[in-house]
Amino acid sequence: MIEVKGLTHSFGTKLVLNNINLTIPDGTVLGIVGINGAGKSTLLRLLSGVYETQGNVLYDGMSPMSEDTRQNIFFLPDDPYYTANSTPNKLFEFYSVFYPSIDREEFYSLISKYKIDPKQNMRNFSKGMRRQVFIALALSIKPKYILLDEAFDGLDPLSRKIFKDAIISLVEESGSTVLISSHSLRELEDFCDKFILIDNNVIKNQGDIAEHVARLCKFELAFIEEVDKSKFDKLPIVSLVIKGRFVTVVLEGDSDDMRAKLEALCPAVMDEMQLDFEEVFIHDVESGRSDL
Amino acid sequence: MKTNKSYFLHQLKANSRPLIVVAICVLILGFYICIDNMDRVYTHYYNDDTQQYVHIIDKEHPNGQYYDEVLDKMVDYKTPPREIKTRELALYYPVVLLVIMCYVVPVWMFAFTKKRRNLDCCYSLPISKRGFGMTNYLVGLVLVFIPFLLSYIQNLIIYASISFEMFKNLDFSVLTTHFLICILMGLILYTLFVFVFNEANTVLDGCIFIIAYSVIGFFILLSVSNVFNFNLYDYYVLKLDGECAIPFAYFGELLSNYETTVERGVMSHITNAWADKGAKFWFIFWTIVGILSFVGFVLGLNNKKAEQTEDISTSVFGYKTLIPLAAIPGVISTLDFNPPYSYGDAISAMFITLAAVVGYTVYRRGVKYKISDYVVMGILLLFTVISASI
Repeated sequence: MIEVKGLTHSFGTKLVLNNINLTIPDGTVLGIVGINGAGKSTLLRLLSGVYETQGNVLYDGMSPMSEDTRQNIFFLPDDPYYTANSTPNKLFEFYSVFYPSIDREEFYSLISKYKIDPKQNMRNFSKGMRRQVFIALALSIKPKYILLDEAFDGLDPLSRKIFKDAIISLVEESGSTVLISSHSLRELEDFCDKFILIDNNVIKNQGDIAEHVARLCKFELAFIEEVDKSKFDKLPIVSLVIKGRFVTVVLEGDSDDMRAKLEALCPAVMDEMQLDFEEVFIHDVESGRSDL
Repeated sequence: MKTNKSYFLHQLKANSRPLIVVAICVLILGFYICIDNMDRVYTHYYNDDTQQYVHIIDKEHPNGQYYDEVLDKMVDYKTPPREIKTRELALYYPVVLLVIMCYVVPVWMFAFTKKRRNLDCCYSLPISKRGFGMTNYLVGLVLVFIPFLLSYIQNLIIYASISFEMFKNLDFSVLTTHFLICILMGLILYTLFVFVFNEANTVLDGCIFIIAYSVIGFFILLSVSNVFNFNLYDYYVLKLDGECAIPFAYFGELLSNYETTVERGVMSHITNAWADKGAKFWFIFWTIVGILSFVGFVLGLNNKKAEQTEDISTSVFGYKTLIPLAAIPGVISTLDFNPPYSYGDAISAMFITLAAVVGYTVYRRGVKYKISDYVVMGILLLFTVISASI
C-alpha cells in the first residue's frame, strides 16, 4: 500500500504540489490526470524517490529513499535515460544490475512482440519504440509498484493493446500496483480502477473512474422554438450549449432523474449521449467543478 | 552493498572500450616519447662548481648495445670530476597524462548527472545517491590511474630493453617515492575536480569550475603579492614557485625526468618535506584540499537534489564565491600609488571588472543580476575608478 500524507513540493518559490494526501491499496491501477503543468510528473518523481520527501510517502510503511523499498519500485519517466550506445540488450544488462530478479525470457518475448531488434542502437529508434523497450523492462522486472509517466506517449494502437494486456496480467498475477499518468484518458478509462485529478497544486478529485463518469449525463435536445438559458436554471448544469432550437446539456446526477426533469421542459426530441472519461475531465476542468 | 559492487563492475565494463582506446593511444604515444627521450645520453661535469649537462649523442640507435659501447669508450676519457650519466626515463610523460586524465575523467564520469532526464532514472534505481556517486568516483579513479600505470611501466620496460645495465643502476627508492607521490597528487587533483564538478548543475558550469579552481589559488596569491608588494617567487613559503597554488602545477615538481629529478634533488623537496618549508607548506595544503574535497563530495551526494539539475549553479563553491574571490583582490592589486604611474593598471582593473560582469552573466544566464552581484560589481567599479584616477 502506498500512503501519501501532507506532501508538498515547490520549485524555488513556485508551489507545485500542496498538501497531497492519498492512499493507494495494493493491486490498484491508478490513473493520474491533470492539465499540462498540473504536477503529475512531479508527483511521480516524489513517489519514486527521485525528488526527496520528508517521510510523507510510505510504501508498506517504508520510505522510497531506502534501497530495499526501491527494489519493489520501477519508475518510467516520460523521457527515459539511455546512453548514445544503448541497445535493448545493454539496457537489459544495466537494469539487471539493480533488479537481479528481472525475467529475461519475458523481456525478450515482449521485445519480439514489439518487433524490436535487441542489438540495434536505440538512437535509431522512434520515441514509441524506445518507450516499448522501457515498458518491456518494467514488465519483466515485475516490481510491486510500477510508476509510469505519460505511459501511452508515442505508442501505436497495437503496442497500446499489448501494453495494456501485459499490465492487466501483471496486476492479476503479481498483485502489482500501477500508477499511470497520461493525457490519453480514453486509454486510462479502459483499464484503470481509480483516478486522481490534480489541478491547482492539489488533488481536486479522486475515486472510481466508472462512478465518476456515471455522475454526469449528457443529453441532446431539440425544441420547437428557440430556447433561453433561463429555462435550465433549476437543473444541476455542468455544461450547456444552446444553438437556436438545439441544446446540448451535461448534467450532474442520476441519468433517469435528469431525463425526467428534462422531459418536463417539453423538448420535441431528446437523446441521451454516452459520456467518456475524457469528456468528463474536460467538463470538470472547464467548468471549474472538479472539486465537486 | 551488493548492488554497489554489481554497479561498479557494470560501469567498469561499460567504460572498458574507451579505456582500451585511451590505453592504446597512451602506449603508442608513450613509445615514441620514451624512445625519443631515452635516445639522448648525457654526461655532466663540474665547471666552477656548477653542475652542467652535456648532450653527447642525439640520434637513434637500434639497440642499447651501441650505447653501452659508446659509454665504454667515454669511460676511457673519463677523468675526475667528469662523470658519465645515463639516459633519462621520460617520467614527465605519465605525470602529464595523469594531470590530463584528472581533468577529463570527472567530466566523463559525472556529465550524465547534469541532465534531469538521466536522474529520473538513476535516482529511482535501488541504489543510494551516495552509493551511486561513490561507485562512479571509484570507476573514475580506475580510468585515471590505468593510463598512468601503463605509461609508467612502459617507461621502465623500454628503459630496461635499451640497456639493462642502466636499468639495474636506477635508484628504485626514488622511483617508488616518485610513483607514490604521483598517485597521491593524482588522487587529490581528481577528487578536487570531482567535487567542484558535482557542485555545478550543468556540464558547462562544471567545466568552468574545474578551470577556475585550477588557477584561482595562483591568481589570488599573485594579487596578494601585488598588494603587499612582495615578489611571489622570492617569498619563502612559496619557494616551490608560486605556481604551486595551481593544483596541477604542483605536479611540475614531479615532471622532471629521472636523472634530473635525482640531480636536482627534487625528491628531497617531497620526501624530506620538513627540510623545505615551501614544499612542506604546499604538500600539506594540497593534502588538506584533497581530504576536504572528498568530504565535501561525499556529503554533497546525499544533499544533491535532482530538481536543481540544469538550474543555475548556486553552490557556495561556485560562481557565488569564485567571482568576488578572484576579482576583488585582482582589482585591488592594480592600485599602485607609487610612481611611475601607468595606464596599464587601470586597463587591467577594467578588464578584471569586465571579466567579473561576464562571469555574473554566465552565472545568472543573462542580465538577471541579484543585489549581491551588484554589490560586488559596484566594489570592482569603485576600485577601477580609483585605479584610473591615480
